[in-house]
Amino acid sequence: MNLPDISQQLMALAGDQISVLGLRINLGNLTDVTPDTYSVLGWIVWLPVIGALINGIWGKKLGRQGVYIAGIGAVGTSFLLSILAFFTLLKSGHAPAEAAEGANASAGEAAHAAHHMLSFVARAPSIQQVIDGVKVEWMPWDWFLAPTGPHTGEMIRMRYVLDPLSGVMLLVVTGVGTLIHVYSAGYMSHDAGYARFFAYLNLFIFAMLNLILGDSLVLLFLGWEGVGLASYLLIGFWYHNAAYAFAGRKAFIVNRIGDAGLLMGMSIIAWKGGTYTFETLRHHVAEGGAAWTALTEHTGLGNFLIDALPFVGSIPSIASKMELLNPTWGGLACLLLFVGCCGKSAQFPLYVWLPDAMAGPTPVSALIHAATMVTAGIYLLCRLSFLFIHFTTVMNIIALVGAFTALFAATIAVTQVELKKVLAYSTVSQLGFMFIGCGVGAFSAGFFHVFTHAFFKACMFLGAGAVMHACGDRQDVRELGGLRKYLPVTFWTFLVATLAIIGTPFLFSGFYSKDEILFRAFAHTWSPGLGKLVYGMGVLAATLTSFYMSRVFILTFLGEGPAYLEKAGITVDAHGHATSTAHDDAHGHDAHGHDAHGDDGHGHHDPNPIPSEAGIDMKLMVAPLVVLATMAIVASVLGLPHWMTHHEGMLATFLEHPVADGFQFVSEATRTQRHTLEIPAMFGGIGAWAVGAGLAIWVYVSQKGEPAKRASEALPKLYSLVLAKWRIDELYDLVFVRPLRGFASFVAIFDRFVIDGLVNLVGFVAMLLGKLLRPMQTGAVQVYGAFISVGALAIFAWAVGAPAVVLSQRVDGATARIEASGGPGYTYRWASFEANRDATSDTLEARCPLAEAAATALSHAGDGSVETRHDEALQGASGRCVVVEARNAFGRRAYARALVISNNPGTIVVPGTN
Amino acid sequence: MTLAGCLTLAAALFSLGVYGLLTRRQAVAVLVSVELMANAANLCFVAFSRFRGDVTGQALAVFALALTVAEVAVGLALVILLYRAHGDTRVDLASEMKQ
Amino acid sequence: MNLVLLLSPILIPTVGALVLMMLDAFQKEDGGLAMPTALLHFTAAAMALALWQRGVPSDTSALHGFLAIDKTSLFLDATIALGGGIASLLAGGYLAEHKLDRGEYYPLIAFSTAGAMLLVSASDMLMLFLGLETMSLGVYAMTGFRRGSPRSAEASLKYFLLGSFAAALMLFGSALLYAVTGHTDYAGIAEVLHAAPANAAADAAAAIQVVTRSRISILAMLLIVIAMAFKVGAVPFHMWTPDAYEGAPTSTMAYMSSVVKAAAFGAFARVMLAVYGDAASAGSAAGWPAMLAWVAVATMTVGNLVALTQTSVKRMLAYSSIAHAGYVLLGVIAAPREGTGTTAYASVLFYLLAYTVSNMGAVGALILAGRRGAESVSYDDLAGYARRHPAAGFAMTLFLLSLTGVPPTVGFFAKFYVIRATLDAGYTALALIAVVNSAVSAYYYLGVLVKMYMRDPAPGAALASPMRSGYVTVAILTAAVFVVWMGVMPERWLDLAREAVGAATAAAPSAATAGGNAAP
Repeated sequence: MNLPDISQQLMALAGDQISVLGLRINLGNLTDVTPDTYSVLGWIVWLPVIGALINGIWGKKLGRQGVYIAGIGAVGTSFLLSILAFFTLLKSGHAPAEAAEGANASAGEAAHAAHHMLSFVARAPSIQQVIDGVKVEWMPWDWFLAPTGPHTGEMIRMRYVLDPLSGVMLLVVTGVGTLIHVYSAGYMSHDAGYARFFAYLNLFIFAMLNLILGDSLVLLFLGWEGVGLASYLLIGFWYHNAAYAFAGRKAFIVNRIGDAGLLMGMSIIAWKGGTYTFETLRHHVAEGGAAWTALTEHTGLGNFLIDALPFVGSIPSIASKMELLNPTWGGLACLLLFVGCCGKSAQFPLYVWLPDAMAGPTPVSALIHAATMVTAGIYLLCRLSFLFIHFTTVMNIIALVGAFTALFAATIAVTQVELKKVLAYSTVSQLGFMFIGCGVGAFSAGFFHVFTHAFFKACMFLGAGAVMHACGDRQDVRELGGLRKYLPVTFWTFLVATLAIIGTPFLFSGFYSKDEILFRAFAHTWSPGLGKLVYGMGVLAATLTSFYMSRVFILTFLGEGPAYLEKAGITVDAHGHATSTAHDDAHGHDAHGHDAHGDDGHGHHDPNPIPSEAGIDMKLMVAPLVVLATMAIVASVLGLPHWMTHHEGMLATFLEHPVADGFQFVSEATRTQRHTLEIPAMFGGIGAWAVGAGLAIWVYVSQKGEPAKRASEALPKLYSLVLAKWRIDELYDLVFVRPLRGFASFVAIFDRFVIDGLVNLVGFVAMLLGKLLRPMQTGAVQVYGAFISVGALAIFAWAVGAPAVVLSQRVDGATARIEASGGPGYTYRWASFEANRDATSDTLEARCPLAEAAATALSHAGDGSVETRHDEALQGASGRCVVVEARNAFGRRAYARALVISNNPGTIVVPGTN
Repeated sequence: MTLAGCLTLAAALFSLGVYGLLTRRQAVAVLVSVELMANAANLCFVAFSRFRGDVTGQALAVFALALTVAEVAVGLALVILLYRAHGDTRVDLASEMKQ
Repeated sequence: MNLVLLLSPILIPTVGALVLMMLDAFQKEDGGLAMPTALLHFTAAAMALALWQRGVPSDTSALHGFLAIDKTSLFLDATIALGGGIASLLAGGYLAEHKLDRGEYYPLIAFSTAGAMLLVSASDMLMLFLGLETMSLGVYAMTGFRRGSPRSAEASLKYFLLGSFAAALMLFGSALLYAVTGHTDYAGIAEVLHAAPANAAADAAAAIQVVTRSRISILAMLLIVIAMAFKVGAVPFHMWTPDAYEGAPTSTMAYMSSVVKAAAFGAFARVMLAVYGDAASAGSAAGWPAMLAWVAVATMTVGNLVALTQTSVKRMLAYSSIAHAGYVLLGVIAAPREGTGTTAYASVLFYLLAYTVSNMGAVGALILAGRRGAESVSYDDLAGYARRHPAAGFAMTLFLLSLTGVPPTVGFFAKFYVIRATLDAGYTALALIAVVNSAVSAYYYLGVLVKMYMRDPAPGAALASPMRSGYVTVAILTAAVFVVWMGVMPERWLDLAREAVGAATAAAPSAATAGGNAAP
């Protein structure tokens, strides 16, 4: 049973026709794939932007209900259309197979065919089919001609392509996006900026969909910047708070570093690969690879071993065909792209913005900074996996950076006490796992983790948001506790998500996705040693994950009732009615009144509310939690490991075509051998889970947190270091910011630089120059007239003054044609003479001394003519010097010379001087 | 009058116009200076037209004259505006907007 | 082809202006002429497009070489008419709101538009001067239209005096050209100027004559360049721009900064390419492009840097229009280059249209933000504006993003094409400077957005609120449609511009023969 099977059966059930409210929609028509006109994709992308416009412009007039309908409606419809498009995609995978095996194949046969359809390699299809794969696309218009070289360009199309990779991502983004929109309706129910919020959120979805569906790096980059903008706007959503606004700016600046990498990587790909479009790039890479294969078969060098791949580019015939496979350029491009991914996906050392980004409203943290945007880096790696897989060094760097980030962030998360901070570092850590997957050549495993993580992490963030919403904006776990009885739905869903993220064996999706990554690291093909190292770091990180997530869960939901209520002296009776011992009536309202009161954490009507899930806003919030928690379990089905099913996971099979895999390049025998490592590798993961969770339970349940206190007291320095997030922010401050600040006390300019960052330095210098220029504008008309006169004189002086002449050359057969640049009223004298063959140095002046030219050759050259060309025969190894004297209308002269050497197709030309 | 004489006169008039434009304080005098410059050009046209025996230049000069008249009309209206605003017609009064 | 039909884009605003004057004279109350004026302009634009569709005849000898009616001029005519139409609508809202709604404004716009069209079609020095003056005289009057305001008077006086200075320079330049060639039409001038000179060695007297002639020709070229550089607001001939824009009624500023600029650039490019487009004059190391390169660098840089320091949005837009003139100059510089020049010329036309709609929109949004007695001109006036009035704020945002050059608005592609053309022509340093300048410009444009979205007004400050005017709304919507449309389908519009200049080069020989007829 895999995805195509399901779709096939759904299709069979629906009979290609669905009846909705009496309207018969012919599913067959809607899902019919015409190659480039599947306009549903256009609607999917553009609906959210329409929502954003409506909310952004008329939000206030619409009122809350209207904004919710427009915002949720746009994304929800987009989600429904995404499902439709996804099934269309599946069907398009079937169609050729059905055609091949008979139109009236039974469901079982069709499913079988579909399976094969998706495993192209098994059917030995043409290279074209392999490369293009299954896809649905929408190509409405040519956008603009983007340059790929000095005089070459590629037409960038407004083209959206749905293939298995973007299909899965599309479902995640629109699906989780819809849930979070619903949640936001509850979460933002008391915030005055709700229209703005929904407009930004819709804008984000729009940008993200461009990123996913765009068929070229240009569209991807546009989406990439768009999500960055939306993220910036949403982090600083409560910009009145200076710290929040600063967090927004920090995210912005750190991401600029990453984006610069992405942009440079893109440029190299365009320059060396000659294209921005993924498909074309894939063709180019495949051609280079095919040429290599042919070569190895011809020379009998053996299999297409991945270890040998870096040398592909060093073979000239292929290098000229496909420069991008050259390890220098291609590797550099991939490395730079990876820098971009590090920025967006918060990898070391560019992760610093993500924890601060939690300043934004919680739904934003869930959607953008956990489930979707931050996975864009992994998405990009998967999208270009066919390229990355050729550069093993870069892949190793990716794996190491991922492993280090996973471990590093996990250690920080252990000590954090704020719910969202823990989740933020946990996100960084989990993103590290995904990068491990990509780096060890298991892109689909990394992507599977993206998929499962989206559900359980979004669920946890939303759960945290629900806790904060219900507890007066508290998120310090020391102030919480015992919430199980107040927020039962949140409790259960959070529990499921926690069990998933810590990798509870066999039932939860997190287990399968993490396990697949660890296994692939363990079974690493091209550098086994590195694989083991990464595996070890991964297991350690998983242990820590298991520990800190259990810890947070225990401290928040189990144990005695919320600490802040106890501190305030409020006790709650069995029915949830509060009795205050401290101030009798100050907080003595019942919990059901609290939704009318409102507690968004920003109004602060009641500093110590009794947590409850009763209000309508809370109901809107907990509903998505249930869906997400369910998905956190169900998603397991897509990635059951090989040892259970004797197949690759369903998702991996589905992604087989668009996403490369290190296993593709090893022999069947090696692959089988590697699969035997699956179960040994799994013990590491299970061990990590057991140790971490067990430790947490022992420390925080049995011992009530005593060992943790003792540990922190025993190792106070280490504890405070980790608590302070390894002081990385401080390190950056020390290494980058502080020295500059010291300098700044001397130079006021640099003060601006430090405070407002690089952008402002440029701004400041420019501003300074502007202020210097500004007084020119005196206001007196006659001064302006004088400027015009002076300007006119300067221009006259320029025309009278220095003539300039530049030579260019073209070799035509046995003659070199030297051409002098033109000038108004110029006349020229040409002369040529034998170059000085005994010159000691090889400079033009030594070979063709200008003094000699002016003294002898030019004096015989006759009077000036307007001839700008001179033909010089190619002869003699020492060469001939060609000199031109240009004289402008006012008698000023300039010289330029060239050395013409035979047997050398090029000539040396230097511009002349007076 | 020789061609060279005409040209010298035209150049002198033009320079005088530029000088006046840059130095005279009264708006009307500045206006006159501008007209001097335009008419220096017209003089050139007429002179070359005559020495070339071709009427194109004279035709152009007639057009140019008509246009400069229109220009003067607008200019004087603006001088009146200046007078209304400041009670005087010194051009340096019009230097409120700057930088 | 019927001469009237051929000239219809120019005749419509001319005759229309006369009719508007009559209407104004006979109507009892002021106001109400905005819509007719706008329709007049849009009709002229439609007429230009209709002529384009129908195909311009290759034989335009009926024009006697005075005017070139080709696709280049039709494209620019349409741009000018579109800009003029939007400006009329803006005037309808602005003048009424600020109690300036006197009827003579509208004939002035129409006359200026006619002048602008003459200017871009001119292929004779006489027509160039005629167009320039017709356009300018109207704009001088429109600048001083706020009679009670000393600033308005000051603005128009400055503009007038310096403009007349430039016109005189231009006239003198034409006189010199006439002196050396005996022609006033571009084709005739070019023919004589670039004819193979007499063999200098043979006759010493002839050699002197050749040298003198080329000296005078260079002087004439420089005078014309200076005059046109003045009109487009290039540094150091730009100084009238900020003052004139600031003092002028905002609707006039919209017209000046877009239409006048487009017309001046159109004429500039045409006269330089037609008269001085030869390899010697347009040499990349010593010809006028090399000189203009310096001007362009100064223009972009000074415009942007000083714009940074402004506190008034209106004045900032004035300086930014200087900077944009610098970008357009890049295209003009690259235009004479063989091979890639056509695309460069096309990128100029594209830029002019793009800038016209973007800038019109931005100024329109600024007009919208000002009520009677509370014109919003400074950054501070706009604090929190977009949050109080999301739609009006969004309009401003769209146009400012376009001016900044953020894709997918048209402003990005305008800059992109011009910079690409500069690179293709081999001016790498120039392109880099343009990119850096463009980045600097983001600072002050986005500054407005930050004010509008992320700052609260100072306590007690008057809150800017949008005026209610159907005219202004329609004007902004029209501009917005073009900004988005051209931004999502830039290649099609560039193709149109390419077609426009392709036609221009094809029509050149016939213009030459016509020129020969005109000057026997």
